[in-house]
Amino acid sequence: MADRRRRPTGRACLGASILVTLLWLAAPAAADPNHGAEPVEETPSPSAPPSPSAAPTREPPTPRLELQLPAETGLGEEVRLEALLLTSRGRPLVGERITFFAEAAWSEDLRGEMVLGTAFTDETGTAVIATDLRTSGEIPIGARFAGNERFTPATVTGTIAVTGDEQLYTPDTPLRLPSGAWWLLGLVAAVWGTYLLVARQVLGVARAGIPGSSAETSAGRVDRRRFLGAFALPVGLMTVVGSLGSGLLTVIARSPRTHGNRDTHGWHTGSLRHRVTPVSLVGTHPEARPMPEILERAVSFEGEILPILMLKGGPHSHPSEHSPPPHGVRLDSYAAIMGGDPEAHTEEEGHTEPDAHGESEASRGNGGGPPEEGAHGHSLVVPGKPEESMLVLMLLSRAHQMPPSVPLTDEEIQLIASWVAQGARDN
Amino acid sequence: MVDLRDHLDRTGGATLDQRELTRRRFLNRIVGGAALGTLAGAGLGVWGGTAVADEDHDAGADEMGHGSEEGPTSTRVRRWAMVVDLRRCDGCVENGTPPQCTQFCNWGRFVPEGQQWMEVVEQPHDDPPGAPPHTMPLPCFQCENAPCVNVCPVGATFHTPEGTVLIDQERCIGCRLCIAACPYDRRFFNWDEPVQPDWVQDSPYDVRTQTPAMRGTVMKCDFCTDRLEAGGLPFCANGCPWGALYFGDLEEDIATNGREIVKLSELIHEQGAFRYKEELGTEPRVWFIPGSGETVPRTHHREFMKDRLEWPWEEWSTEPAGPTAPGPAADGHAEVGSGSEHG
Repeated sequence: MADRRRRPTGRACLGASILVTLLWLAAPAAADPNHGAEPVEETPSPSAPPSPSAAPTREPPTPRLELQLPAETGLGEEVRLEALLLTSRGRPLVGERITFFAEAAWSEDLRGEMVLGTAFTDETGTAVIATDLRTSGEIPIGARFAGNERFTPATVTGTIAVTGDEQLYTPDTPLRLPSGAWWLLGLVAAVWGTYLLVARQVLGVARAGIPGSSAETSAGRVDRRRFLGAFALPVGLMTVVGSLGSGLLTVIARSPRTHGNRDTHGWHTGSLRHRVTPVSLVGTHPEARPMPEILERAVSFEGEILPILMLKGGPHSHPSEHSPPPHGVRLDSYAAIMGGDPEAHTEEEGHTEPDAHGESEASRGNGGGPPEEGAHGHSLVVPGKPEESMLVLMLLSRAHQMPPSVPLTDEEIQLIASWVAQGARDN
Repeated sequence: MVDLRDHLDRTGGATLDQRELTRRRFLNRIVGGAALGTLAGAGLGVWGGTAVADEDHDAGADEMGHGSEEGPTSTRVRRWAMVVDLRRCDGCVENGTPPQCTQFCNWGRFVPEGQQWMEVVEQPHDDPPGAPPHTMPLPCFQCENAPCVNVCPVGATFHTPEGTVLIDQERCIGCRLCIAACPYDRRFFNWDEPVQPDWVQDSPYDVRTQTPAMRGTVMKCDFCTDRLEAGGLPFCANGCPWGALYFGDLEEDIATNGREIVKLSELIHEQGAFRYKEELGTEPRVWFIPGSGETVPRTHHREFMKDRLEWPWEEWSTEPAGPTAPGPAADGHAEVGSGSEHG
């Protein structure tokens, strides 16, 4: 009997010891957040072999991604962006890569996400970057977790109000002087003033040597020819010195950062005829000339449109062997313009080869320049609708102006727009 | 006792004589002063003005809302910069074309024959043996401390507030001091009458596009600021098939190659970008990400075709209109270095 009583006691002791051992082994694992992050209840372990009886495609869980942003910040000031990555049960995910980005615009047709930085989550599931925002306004900020085999990707967005309008980037120059360019201005003025003084002395010497210039000689005996010869040279010298000196001083004082004069931006831009490019203008202003008025009379393609295209179409109208027309767009025939030229399509394909990122220009959309006409899925010409025809829009565009550098005249643009509006016929 | 009459006669005569001399001197000084003032004023007028864009351009700017009526909503000004990702540049060898950045630049700016404002240079090497050559696009570096600007005796080359270096060909006297001063050899001189399409030569002068080109003046890459400020990209970036050329703004710390938008400082620092000949203190605005076209899939092993670049202005001007223009083909190209070129 005793043996019978002992046997269950021994089993209980054995079970208890195994349980204690298991608990002891499990204790550090529970303390380890990495281990704790394992979504044991939510998804099978990636290291475990897939069970044939399990569901073939079970959707991985979505983690909680929270973004902590300051409500506002100053322009160019350092701002701290924090993202918190947790499981659905609130356990931190450690060592995961978080990408922070901001919505940015280069122009009306080129917008996208601009990566601000990346960071890995720590033991609390927090990823932090310090960056600066250099665009004023309500800036959309986001954080993205790309996902892995256990969790689906997650993205969270917010906004930061960025205030300020001060110039942040000022060119650094080795020629910076303690008081701007005024020292240089004074130095040059002194040098050229000395030149002018010397020239004046030369004038005096020359005049002293002229017969008739002394008080004892009457004015009537002055040899005027010799006097003018001796007078003209020094005066000419003085005028040259005066002209060069005053001109050089003006250049130093007014030219945009010429000769080290870099701190007078607000001063000289008022007199500059070169138009400055404020930050707020790019991407926010219309970039196209207005659509011209459509002509009432019929416009001939052969007689009026094609000569313009052949003369000013450049490589689009004169393709060569080694330099195919840009983005496969040809303008040298009616068929090519309307998209019926097989040769144009062949060359177009040559421009859609995958690039280093494995994507093609067609899939990228804009492809870096003009909205790329027919080559990128846009219709070069939509009969009856010049406002939808890339050919017309490119002629009106400022950012992607075609022909480049020297635009078509208003009359030529009006002709082409009218031809499209009248049905783009091969007449 | 002094005779008063004699005294009056002496003093009166002397006074009269001095008065005559003074009047003569006075007239001489008037004439000299007027001449001096005229020439000095001319110097102020000629030297004092800065580059002048043509009236049509200003009128066009007003149409776009860039004029003074609407006014900018910000006082901040762009600071243009460029980043060349050499990892993506193979000199267009893979595509079997001449360097398209150069070719697009030539087309877009009607670059006079022989000049390459955006020039791709190659450096063959044997590490490892048989490896394709290094290629490196070289635009104007738009130096912040530009030697060309500092040496120009007439102020014809100047910095814009955005940081690009432009040349006012209407003021350039062709002394070529700037060519000698440029440590990057990025300036070109029009020795002969530049060949351009007639309608370009007949267009009003625009300092930003450097059209029309003028004989006896210097030209160079201008960063296509007219396109940048309208939200576009320079022609070289448009032409690059691999997106290797980024243009950006140091003020907003943003850059793009037309396919993606990146934070300029991140791109420069994360990729270890460098500036060419930075030790000279020129503070160039162009950065290079080290590389040798390793991200370009090199499968065709073609030749570097820089010698097939084209300046087909005469063909474009003279070729009659027709629906089936064959194109100038390979023999239509001009040899590099002919005509106007480096000073």
